[in-house]
Amino acid sequence: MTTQATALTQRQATSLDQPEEAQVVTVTPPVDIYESQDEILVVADFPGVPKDALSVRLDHSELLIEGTQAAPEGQAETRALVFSRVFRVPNTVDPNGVSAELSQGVLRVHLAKSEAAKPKRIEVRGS
Amino acid sequence: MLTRWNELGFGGLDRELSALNHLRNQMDRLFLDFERGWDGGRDVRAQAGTFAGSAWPRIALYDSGSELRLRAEMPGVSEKDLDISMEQSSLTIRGQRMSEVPEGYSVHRQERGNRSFARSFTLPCRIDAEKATANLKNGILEMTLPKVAEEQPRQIQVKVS
Repeated sequence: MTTQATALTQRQATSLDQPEEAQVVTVTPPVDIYESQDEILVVADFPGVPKDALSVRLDHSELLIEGTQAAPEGQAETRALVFSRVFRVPNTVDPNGVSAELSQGVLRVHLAKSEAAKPKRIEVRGS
Repeated sequence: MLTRWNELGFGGLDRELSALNHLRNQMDRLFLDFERGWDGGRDVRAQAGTFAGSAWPRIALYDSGSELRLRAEMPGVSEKDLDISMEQSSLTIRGQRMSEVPEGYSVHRQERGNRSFARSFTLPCRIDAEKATANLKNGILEMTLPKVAEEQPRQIQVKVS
């Protein structure tokens, strides 16, 4: 919530401070968040964002996904479009177990849970 | 009041505020629709009609003189789910994008949703349909629609008398 509020403030600030052609438009991509026993999966729409213009960062308990859309050919005057979103991630996520894949303009971020956070089966012993 | 403890962080307070959150999202999207207009937000009336994701995919049509160019954002759509047809000067794009819950996963948030669309355009000039191309890359559909010879721009010589 805080993050999106910040993004909104930033957008307003940009439109006031900079000339129109230099504007960067930041948008909030729609996401799906799923969870299994082993991981949390974040799926986000990033249309037109090439792999090298994409940034996935986990900083303490904040996950940032951000990407800049490649400008259409011959349309240089189009303002740059940046998809950006931040999530608070539970501390059950293993910081070394984050992986991401990009396909057909859809980003998937896998956040593996630490061993301690995975559900455990408890053996019931009969006597 | 009892608050359910949720160690996962995605729920908790977020869920309690979900109604408010939803409204704010809708408002946010509304503003984004204004800001994200392909033409830089000049035609406000046209965009006011495209409320909160009702126009999906987002499409732009450019005229580069010798050809028309169409660009559509359709993340998650594969070429086999896409059907493009042309009849006289009418172009129709149909397709769908499914976002199913992966097996063994529970849902925390679903904003992307399944999308099924059909959009038709009356093109402003005649097109050589045989030479039209469509290319889908990184979730963006780019189409090149060359104009027929009679519609090509002509250079007019200025004579000095």
